[in-house]
Amino acid sequence: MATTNKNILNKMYLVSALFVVVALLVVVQIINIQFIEGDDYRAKAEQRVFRNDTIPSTRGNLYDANGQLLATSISKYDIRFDALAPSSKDFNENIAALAEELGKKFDKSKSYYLQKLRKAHSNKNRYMLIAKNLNYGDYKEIREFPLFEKGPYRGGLIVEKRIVREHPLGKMAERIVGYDRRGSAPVGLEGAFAPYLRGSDGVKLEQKIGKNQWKPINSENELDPNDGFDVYTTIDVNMQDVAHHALLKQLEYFEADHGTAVVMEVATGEIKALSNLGRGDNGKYFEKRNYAVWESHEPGSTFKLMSVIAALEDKVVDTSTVFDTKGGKISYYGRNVRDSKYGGYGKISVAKAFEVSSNTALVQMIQNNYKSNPEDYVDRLYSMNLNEKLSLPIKGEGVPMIPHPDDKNWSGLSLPWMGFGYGVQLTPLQTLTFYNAVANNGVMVKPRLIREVKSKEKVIEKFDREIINPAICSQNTIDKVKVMMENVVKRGTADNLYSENFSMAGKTGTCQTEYWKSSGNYIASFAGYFPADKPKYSCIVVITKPSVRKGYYGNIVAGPVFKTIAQKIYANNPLIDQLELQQAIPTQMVVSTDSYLSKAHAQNEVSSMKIPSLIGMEAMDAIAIVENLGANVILKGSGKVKSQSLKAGTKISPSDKVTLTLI
Amino acid sequence: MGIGDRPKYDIAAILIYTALVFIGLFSIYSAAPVLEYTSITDINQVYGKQFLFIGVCALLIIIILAIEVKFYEQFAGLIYVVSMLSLAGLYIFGKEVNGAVSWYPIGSFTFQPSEFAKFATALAVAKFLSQLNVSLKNVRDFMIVAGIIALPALLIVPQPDPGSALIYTAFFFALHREGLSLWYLSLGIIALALFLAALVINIWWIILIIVVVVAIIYLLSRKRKHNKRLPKPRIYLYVIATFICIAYTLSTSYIFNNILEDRHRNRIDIVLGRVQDDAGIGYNINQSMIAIGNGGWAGKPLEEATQTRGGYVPEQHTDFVFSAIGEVSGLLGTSITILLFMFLIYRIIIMAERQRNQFARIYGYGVAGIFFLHFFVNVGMVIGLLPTVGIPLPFMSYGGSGLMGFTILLFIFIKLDAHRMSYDH
Repeated sequence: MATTNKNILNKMYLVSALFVVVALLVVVQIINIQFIEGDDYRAKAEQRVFRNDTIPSTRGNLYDANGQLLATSISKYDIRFDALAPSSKDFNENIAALAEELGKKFDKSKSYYLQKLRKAHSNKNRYMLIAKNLNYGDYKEIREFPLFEKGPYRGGLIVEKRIVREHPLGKMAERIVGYDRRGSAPVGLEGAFAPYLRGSDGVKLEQKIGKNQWKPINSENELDPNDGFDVYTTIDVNMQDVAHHALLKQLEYFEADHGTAVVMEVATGEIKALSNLGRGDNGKYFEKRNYAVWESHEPGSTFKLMSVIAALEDKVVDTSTVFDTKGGKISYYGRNVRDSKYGGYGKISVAKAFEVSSNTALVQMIQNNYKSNPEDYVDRLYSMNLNEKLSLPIKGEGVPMIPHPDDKNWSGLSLPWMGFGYGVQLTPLQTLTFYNAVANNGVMVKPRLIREVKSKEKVIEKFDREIINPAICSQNTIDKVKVMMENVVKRGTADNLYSENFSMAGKTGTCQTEYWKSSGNYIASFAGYFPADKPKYSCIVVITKPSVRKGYYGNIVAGPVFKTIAQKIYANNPLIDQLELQQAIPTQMVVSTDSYLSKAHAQNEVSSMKIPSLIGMEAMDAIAIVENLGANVILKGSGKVKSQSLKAGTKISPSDKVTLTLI
Repeated sequence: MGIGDRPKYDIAAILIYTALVFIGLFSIYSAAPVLEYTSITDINQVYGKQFLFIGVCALLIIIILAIEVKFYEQFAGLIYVVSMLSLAGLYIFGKEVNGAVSWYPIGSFTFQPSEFAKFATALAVAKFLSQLNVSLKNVRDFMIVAGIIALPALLIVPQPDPGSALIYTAFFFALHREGLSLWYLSLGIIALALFLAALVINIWWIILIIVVVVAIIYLLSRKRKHNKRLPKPRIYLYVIATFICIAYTLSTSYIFNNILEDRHRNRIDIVLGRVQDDAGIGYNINQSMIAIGNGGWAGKPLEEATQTRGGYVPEQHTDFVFSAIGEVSGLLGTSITILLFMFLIYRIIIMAERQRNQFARIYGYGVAGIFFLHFFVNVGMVIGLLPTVGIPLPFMSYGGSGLMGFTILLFIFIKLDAHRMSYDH
């Protein structure tokens, strides 16, 4: 028995030893956690204890030139219910009254809310949605409802406040008003003036005292929030309205891809209206992109103003200098420049060439005078700041491109092509700035969107006009081109805009775009100012890719928008009747197409839809013409057109098929 | 009435029990997921409920101590059968909570029969082994005891609650005391060592180590030729043993990698440091260790005990209650808790050894084993020594069934011990 006892004792020692080892293991690990690695763990715990809570600042308001609100911040409230917070007694006593009040407030039956609240209670729902997007008044009302009046802990009321930005103008100026959201690039005025509008957030140091509960450490904020300033912009809501609707109407009629219209005050450079409309997938237009600021494109004929000023300023020509339009066609290095009028204009002066927008005459003016020293021409353009960005506060300005003879891809074609606005790129706003400088007697002012920054009623910062160039050219030259621009409307390419009781000056532009992809894509533009004698506002309208079957010339597509804006703003004279008339203008009149590719368009009558003679044309050009008339082409052979299945002058309808036999 | 008839209750054990229960209550209070503290008797909060359970336990204790001492031995079999039926009944009437069907719904409370199966099994094991003609050396008897222990475990595993089932290995201590060969312990330790080694060390190293160790043992045993009582070492036995070890090692790593479910594998991987995953499966343990680490020497006042007050440790008032002690009362609190537990287990073993009645002694060892395993597995989990196994800390974790089950377990033994002088066969 003794042995057994000893045996058992030994075994028990073994087991006890195991117990002790285990206990030691536990103690060692606890010491390890609390002391050896204790600092690490405490540091981790510390992170949890304090936080710098941001107190959001209130964003400033955005006003138009007349003090109308463009954007403002308001609070919205979401109300939820924690069904577990109230005691059962409170819940049962108040639920009927609460359901009744909620039913009254939200136009639902009492039983609807009774059932909903009961269900939340039995499901232990701690986050039941009651209502969303309430304004402050509604929120205050709900806060006083039975049960909710007991507050978050005893009443289960959960309030979530959000600040939302409201734009009273809505879609009309969506893009120019823009937005400034976390995580996306700033857009429009909201984005451009964010530094003023945002203000700075405050900081409050808080300590965690429980799940989702934070207690401020000090009674005062560590950093008080500074509310954003109010920004008074130059935009005039009334002009914006006029520009928006005039542009929209024209875009819809011509089924264009997109367009922009900008109105600028001549003396100050203040942008009064800036409308950008693009076609969405559903065919509706909305403020899609800020084309005026962003989109660099070949300006085409509106650039002839720059060419003429350069030539006049360099005194290589005068307005009376005569060029031979050489039958409306002139070749450089095997490529043709054509006038929109088939057969050309004979021998015409520079002034006349500008009025009718003769490509051949003006190209010769540049090519003949500058071919030996093209840098003189380019330097002249540079001296007029055409190669510089406007450095607007709005992000994403397109870069102007004026090639220099020293550039690698400068070729013999570069100079003549630049003469009538190809091979160069400007944004609509850059072009407008130049036109505005002409209207402003040579003083080039920077386009400006901001007038002043205020805090409450106190003026923080005032903005004045900024002069880019005090004199882009001599007054003499200015006077000459002003007359020419006025004549464009009086008797030139834009005589359809002419109005007896109101004077305007400007230049049309019709240029091909994306001609490297397919023909038939145009940019129609009109840039100018009004009134012609004492310019008050300058304006540019650019409409991209109108439906060719309805028209694509600058004077037809873009011009009427300009006219509507001008008359509505200045003459304050609604022009609806005239506007409609313009759509029906017989295209027999002298119109200018500026494209050297669109040869026979002068003969082409858009309204009567008659097929012109295509004999002898390059196949590509002939196809473009027929397709622009809406008909289909069947080709036979290759080379130039030998015969056409529909005789010249016969009416053509979109379903027709035209067979072209080529040599 | 003889001299030993007056019951002598073990005051030390009762005091330790009381201390643990109240430390537990205050830890639950500090870890309660509430926004604002109410009275500790607020029945709507977990601490109020625990307070209520403690009251119920006080009643239970009086009843246990009032019942005739022979009752427990006489009705051990019946209690066991009823308990097993209640476990089996879960598959029909049970209520699912957190993915396990371990509870019967009783009004607004739930009842967890696995917490009561422990003392029933302890009683049954003690009853069976204390029979005069039963010996663990008899294979048939051993199998019956093994069956009595395995039955509740097998009923609990599929609930699924593998943690609670694991606890039944605690009866090993009692069997060990009653003469189970040391071989079982050695085998268990070897098996565990090989299992862990297979996960941590390259399998080829383990095979090499096995071969070398077996070779050394063999060479040593050859020198014992003079000891005539031992049989001559036979080389083929050693070869077989080597192969069994290698086969076991290979199979464990196969089972671990291919048969265990991800959640189990991950828990083991985290403890072994094979993966670091503080945000996912290791979140509980990491948060728990931050809480304990934050406690330092003497703990943090409640408002600074951010892990606990912030509700960062999931299940802190139940299985992870030890971490609340660690944060709120620091090393001081955890050491006291550990000492209390070790002293309680030590006290129970002393008490068991002084029993003249074999039934009481075996039962005592069963109790000691269960408390020890619960303590070690729970605390080991909370401090990151062991994988996450969901079992409560006796007397301290929130839960009525658990608290009552442990109270009954302990106080039946205190009752048996109190009558040790008169209670005999």
